[in-house]
Amino acid sequence: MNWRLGLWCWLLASSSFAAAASDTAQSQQTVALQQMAQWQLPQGKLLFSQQKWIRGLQRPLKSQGFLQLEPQSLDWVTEQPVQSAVRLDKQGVQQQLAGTYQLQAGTELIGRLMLAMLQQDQAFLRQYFSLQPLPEQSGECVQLTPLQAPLTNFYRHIVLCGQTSLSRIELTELAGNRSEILLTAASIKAVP
Amino acid sequence: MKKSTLIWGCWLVMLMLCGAYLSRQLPERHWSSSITAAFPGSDADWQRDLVANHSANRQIRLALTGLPEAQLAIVAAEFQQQNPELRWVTPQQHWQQLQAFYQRAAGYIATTAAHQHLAAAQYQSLTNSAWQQLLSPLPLADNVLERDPLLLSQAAMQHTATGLSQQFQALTPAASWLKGRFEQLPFVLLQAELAIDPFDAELAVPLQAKLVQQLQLLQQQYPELRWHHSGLLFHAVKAATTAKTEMSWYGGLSMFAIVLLLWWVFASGKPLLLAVITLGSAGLAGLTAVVWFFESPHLLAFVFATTLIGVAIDYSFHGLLAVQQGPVFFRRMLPGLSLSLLSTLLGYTALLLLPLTILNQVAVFMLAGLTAAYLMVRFVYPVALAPQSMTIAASARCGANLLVRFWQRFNQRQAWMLFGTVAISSALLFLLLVKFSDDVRGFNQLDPTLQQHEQHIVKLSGQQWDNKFLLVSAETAEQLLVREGQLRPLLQAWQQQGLLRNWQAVSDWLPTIAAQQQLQQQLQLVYQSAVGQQFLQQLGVAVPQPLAQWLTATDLPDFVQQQLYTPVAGKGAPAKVSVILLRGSTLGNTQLAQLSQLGFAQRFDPIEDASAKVAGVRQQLGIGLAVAVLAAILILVWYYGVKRAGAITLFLQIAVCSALNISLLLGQTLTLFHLVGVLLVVALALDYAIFFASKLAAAEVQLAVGLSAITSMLAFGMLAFSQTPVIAGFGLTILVGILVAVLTAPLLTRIGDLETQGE
Repeated sequence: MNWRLGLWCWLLASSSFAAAASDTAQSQQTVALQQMAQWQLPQGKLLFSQQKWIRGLQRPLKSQGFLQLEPQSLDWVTEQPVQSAVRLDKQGVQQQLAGTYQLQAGTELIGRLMLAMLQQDQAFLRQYFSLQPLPEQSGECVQLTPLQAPLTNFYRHIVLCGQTSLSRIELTELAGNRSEILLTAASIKAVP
Repeated sequence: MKKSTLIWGCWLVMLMLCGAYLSRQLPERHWSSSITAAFPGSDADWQRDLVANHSANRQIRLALTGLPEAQLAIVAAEFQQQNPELRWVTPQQHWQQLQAFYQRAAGYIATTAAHQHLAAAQYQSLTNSAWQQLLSPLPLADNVLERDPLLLSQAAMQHTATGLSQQFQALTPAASWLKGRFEQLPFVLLQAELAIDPFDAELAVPLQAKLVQQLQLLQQQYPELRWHHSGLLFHAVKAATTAKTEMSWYGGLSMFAIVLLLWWVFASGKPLLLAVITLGSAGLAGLTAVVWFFESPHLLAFVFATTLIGVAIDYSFHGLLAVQQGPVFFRRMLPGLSLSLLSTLLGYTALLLLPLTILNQVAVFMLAGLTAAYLMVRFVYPVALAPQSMTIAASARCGANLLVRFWQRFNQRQAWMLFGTVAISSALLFLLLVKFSDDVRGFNQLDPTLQQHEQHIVKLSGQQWDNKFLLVSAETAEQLLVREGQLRPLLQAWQQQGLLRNWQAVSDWLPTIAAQQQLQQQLQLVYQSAVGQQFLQQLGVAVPQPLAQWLTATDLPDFVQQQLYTPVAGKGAPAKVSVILLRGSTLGNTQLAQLSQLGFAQRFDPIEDASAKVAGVRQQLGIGLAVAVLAAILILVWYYGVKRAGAITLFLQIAVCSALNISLLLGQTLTLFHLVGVLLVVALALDYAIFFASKLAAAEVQLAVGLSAITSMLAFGMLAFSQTPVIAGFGLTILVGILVAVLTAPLLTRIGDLETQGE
């Protein structure tokens, strides 16, 4: 084989590989979206339990409470070990302090993200994340890897899992902290 | 050696010395084009430096739109790569700096509410708040729990960032730019800081040209691409380009007109050559003097200095015509020429005394240039031109005679009557119409296209910081923070009264060292308390050690550090200054009085400050002008007697008032630069008066004065069409002033003991 033929073969192989890789990413995204589409949309009140592993702490922080999901907002109410409430909407994250909600600066995308995950806003998720199915984990899971700032400054990846509905959210932060949120199906009022 | 060879030799040596000096110095000089940069030095020089160094002056913003978001990102990235010399300010950099600051600030900062809880020993609410933050779904910053388990710094940072993010409410940060949507179309907003001074025309003009060319190339690649830009760079380059174009265009045209005029009058190449050498020598001497005395020559000064052409050609015409009449006539002309030079130099010396760099440069240029022109006429002309060697155009003589004859119909009484009536009526009209403005915003006509760009960028990026800000002065950095803290209640009160939307101060980010020490002591008390012990136990973290190294200004993010300033030690300059940025401020006299009562804070409005300085300069110029005119009149009284000096005074007043009245009737508001025009009208009109009062034939004087006036009017008349309002006002004043002066000057021959000959 002369060098021209070798070069030609290499170019052909590289372009085929690039095309195949692109096709694979595209098809994985499609599979992940199809998988999420099978989950029933939650509505109303959901119970949650959270375990948060924070770097520097020897054991995870456990909390319990409920989520009140409305079309435009999500109330995250922690009942154990302390009472606290956080409202997430398109404006951002608002922490309840002394009875009133106070908006926290620079949290617009995080607020939209939480809503998008629970409401399965595929347009938002596709815009900000690359989606990949994770069939090896327990249940059917989809991994979301942020594509652009500012989400890339906060999260390494997010995993959403469920069979017929979303039941587990795993948030892995860039700083090394990890949260696992379990949503109990009993409270989910399914929408056909 | 022949006398003529010696004189020419000396002249050539002088020119060569000037040329050699300029060829060595000019490449090293940076030309400035900012009007405000040329403003006077004062006790508050440090304020001017602060404004000049303020990062907003070096900022440029570029909004790209017209393409889908993905393509906009490609174009934006390509543009950033093409311009590595610009310091791109990116959200990613802000994020990293904020992160770094937050890491450093853990344990040193807390909100006011947290401070109150600490002071009241309400530890439970602090631990509750920490739990809320720990258990909320929001991400936590890295590695701060060891030093700040109560997460007081996180709450403080969130509080501070709230004010910061209000600036970009409608925008979403991407890694290297901000993005958003305007009228359904996506756009990206790029922001950069220049490494150069936007007023340094040598560097700014090529940079701006490069940026625009790259954008045009990108538009060829993506025809749908649209862009808007903002920044002082674009305005400064526009002003510099306009000034340069006008300077070369008007200078070239007036030179051309002079050449034509000389050819028409003398029909010979020799006087033309002599006049050109005179103008060239005068220009060279003026430029050499400016470069010698000033580090940074100002382009606008040279626009004003084109007036040299008018005055120098006046000398040239008198010299040329006198040489033609023979040595005796030439010697009779010399006292008038010397007196004229003396009076003109006196006028320009008044400019030299003013604390306005542009006018100082004009004065130096004119003093050197006119002296060179005078020396050339006095010493070179007699050896360069033989008597009776040229024929003067009959039509030119005829025109001059006609005007002289017209005024000769008036007897002395009528002449006085005419001078008196016109002087009184023009003065009354002036008093009726007069309106001065020192607002520097009116000095420069902003380019409408650039204005549109600016306005669009403001629409996209939301409300920016105001152009006025508060300055806090102190002896040390610690005292500065203390004083900002003392100012805070006032700011909060104004905010509540709706006089101030918000602000950004250094002390929002950086507490005093005393406050940091106090916070540490209070935190140790929390950790030792039962509530604190239980909280730490539940978390499983050890009691944090007391911190010993304090947070300082060097730890602040760049965009906050830029608000701190150490003025160059000088008269009245404080050791440390901080800038408090304001948004939506409408502070009145009451608020400013409250500020001045504090003794260490003041509101600084660069435009108001510059306008106040201009007002001061205008007053000084007025005084200078009055002194110069008074000095000239005293010389005239001494030389010609009271009567004729009185007539010349009325003549000057008519020329000046007419010039200003026409500007006022055309709707212009008088500015400092009209006064500069008045100074030149006085200088030129005095010239004419002196020559008409000299022992020369009135027709000969009229010919020289008429020719020089026509050339001057051509030069200044064109300045009246300048795009820069101040230059246009200056040009119009001189145009009208000279016209009135040249038309009425022969009437002076009808006053007093006539020395001049009627025919």
